[in-house]
Amino acid sequence: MSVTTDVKQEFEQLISAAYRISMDVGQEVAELLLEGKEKPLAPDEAARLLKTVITVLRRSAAQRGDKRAAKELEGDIQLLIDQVISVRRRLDPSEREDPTSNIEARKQNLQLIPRKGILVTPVSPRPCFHGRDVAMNGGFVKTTDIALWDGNERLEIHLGQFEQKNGRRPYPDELLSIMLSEMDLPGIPEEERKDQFEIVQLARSIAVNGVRKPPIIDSDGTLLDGNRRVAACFYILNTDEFNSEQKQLVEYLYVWQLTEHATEDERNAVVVALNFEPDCKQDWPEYVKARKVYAEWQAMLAAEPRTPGSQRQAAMKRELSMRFALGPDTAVVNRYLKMVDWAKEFELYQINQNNKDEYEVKHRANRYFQYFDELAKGTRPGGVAYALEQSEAFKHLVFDLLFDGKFRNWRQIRELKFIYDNEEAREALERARKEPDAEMAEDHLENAMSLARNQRAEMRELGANSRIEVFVKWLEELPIKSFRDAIRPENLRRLLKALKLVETHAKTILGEAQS
Amino acid sequence: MDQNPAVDATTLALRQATEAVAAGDPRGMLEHLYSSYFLDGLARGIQRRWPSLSRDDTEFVIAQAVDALYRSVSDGKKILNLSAFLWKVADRKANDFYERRLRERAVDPEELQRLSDQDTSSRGPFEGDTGPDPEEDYDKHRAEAIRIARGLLPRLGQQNVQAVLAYLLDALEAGVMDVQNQEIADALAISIETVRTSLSRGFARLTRIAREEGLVRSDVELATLAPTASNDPE
Repeated sequence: MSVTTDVKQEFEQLISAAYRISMDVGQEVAELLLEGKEKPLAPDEAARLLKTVITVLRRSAAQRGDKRAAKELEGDIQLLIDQVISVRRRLDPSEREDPTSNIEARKQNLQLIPRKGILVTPVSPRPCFHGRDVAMNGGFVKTTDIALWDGNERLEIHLGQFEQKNGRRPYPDELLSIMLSEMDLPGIPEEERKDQFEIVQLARSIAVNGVRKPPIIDSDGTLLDGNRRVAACFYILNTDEFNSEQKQLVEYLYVWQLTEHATEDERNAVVVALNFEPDCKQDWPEYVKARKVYAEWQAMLAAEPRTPGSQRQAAMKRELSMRFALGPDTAVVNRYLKMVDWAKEFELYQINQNNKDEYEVKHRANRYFQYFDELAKGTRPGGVAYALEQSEAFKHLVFDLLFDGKFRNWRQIRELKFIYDNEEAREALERARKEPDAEMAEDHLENAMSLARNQRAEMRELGANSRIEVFVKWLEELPIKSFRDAIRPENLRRLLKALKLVETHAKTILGEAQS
Repeated sequence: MDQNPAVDATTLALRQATEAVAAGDPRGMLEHLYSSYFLDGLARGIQRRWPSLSRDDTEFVIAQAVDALYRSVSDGKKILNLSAFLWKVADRKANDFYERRLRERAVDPEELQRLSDQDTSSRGPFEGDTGPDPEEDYDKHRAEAIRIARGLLPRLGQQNVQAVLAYLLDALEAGVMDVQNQEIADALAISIETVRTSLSRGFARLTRIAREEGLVRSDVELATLAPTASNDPE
């Protein structure tokens, strides 16, 4: 094979390159990571390296006409380097000095940037806080450049605890840990230890809708309003629950920023207005939210080429849950779907069979929506849903009581499972339906519940003695007129027959005992 | 609020760097890369492996590696292991620097001396080399070398060995800087273990055949073709 020296040299290089690109360098890379962590570059070395990297990236972006990358890297190179370095400082405690001095040192302006065609402009009309017009600019900042506010009153107790324990204010990442309820602070009630500030729930909403109300920052990037929103964005950026598209959504935030001329009074006005004055925001009723989820679910089912199997349905429900910012667990979606199923049946019955006005019915369904959660529970024998499904008449009886607002609480709904196969209790319930007087109706309802409870109590008793005691007591207290007015003849006959049987046994046994 | 403890801060930062690249955010990429401390380790590793490189050169090869990463992902290439990619590219760029210096010495030591005597303080590492552009010759020689290597593949024996080496040659021709075993395994529908064995056997056989054909120096061993600190005796 005749080849030139140059080609031979290149052939050697080729094999070397082939070897190099396919080499398994896992171990070396792991060692480099460790070395980097243990022996980081000195600050001046790091700044030099970053300067070279940014210069090469800029030049490369310009050469290939990558306007987006060029735009991201434009501006004062020293400022860019400082920002890159500050991110690591913020994340790594070993990189930091005293946070207070750090914050003091950081009293430089955080520049707003234009993005997606939205320019940095003064907020107009000038917003009013606590009766005071405050000049502000609107624009984007990189989320990680925002410093959570450790002066937030919401965190006062937590911060006091932290300071007592550590002798200093928390670093930004520690502040985030507090807000995410990840830091173990004694004294927080057990039920509030998991996501006390409901950041996760908010994050799920933001991942779907973005941040809709602009956080307000000081000229140096310190948050004055929006701690929860920004903490939720940090949570999105740092957890696996969210995909890259959702992370991208919160990488930059549109904020309002105080101008550099803002006075301390204006700063206070913002804080007071947004953290002390109620904004009177009211959440949608659960009935409305559940119906939205239900409608979306129906649309998803309709879009399926064939009836989805259980696995497919589970996947669809997960998607639906994420779409409505309810998280990856589909429990809420399942609950909503069941509740709406029951609410719809209730509405159809009231509108079609009782000729009630549609909107009156919807108002009732809205008002008593939580009761449908109880009605939907227990589809197996012994459950409320199962009991209602055994008899249309019983179900309609319950729907009527619900419509008339005769149930006092959800516990009464739970008792229904013991009433449906107890004839007397059902009769009491029927009387509650017919009774126009609210108090009397309540008595009937209570009576029904008592009858059911008594039966349950008896059922729980294993010995005949207790059962007899309960029955005899009840019988003795029964008004005489009930034998004539309330007890049906066949029941009276059964009672008599039973008592004759008792008499026979009793005479024999008691006679033997006496002798 | 459950967090996977296995995902440590470094891994997370590297993953976020990858995501930032995918999102066309070079600043975010840089922030996460720097937060991962990998750039620090990379700088230390290159300095150790290539001691003859100046600090400027070391910084420049790392910058080129970061740029290559950004461009590769922007071009739609999938980077399976970001840190391995950066290490291999930086190492290769350092090797290029080293080779270029060797060639310069071999060609004209006096000229090199003259250049080094000149005041180079105003000349940054980004300015191109002086003298004739060797790019054209390089391309021609590289194409010829690849053609020869492909011609040798049937002599490597086993089908998997041939396929794996052919995949590598294609990757080199396409300018790919890092090929993970997993990528080859996926592409050829074989196991990672088979890829590993095929690479080992393939390189050994290719070197032996190339030596028999006089394509590589007789004293060249596979180990010396791989980048090691001994490549740079300075």
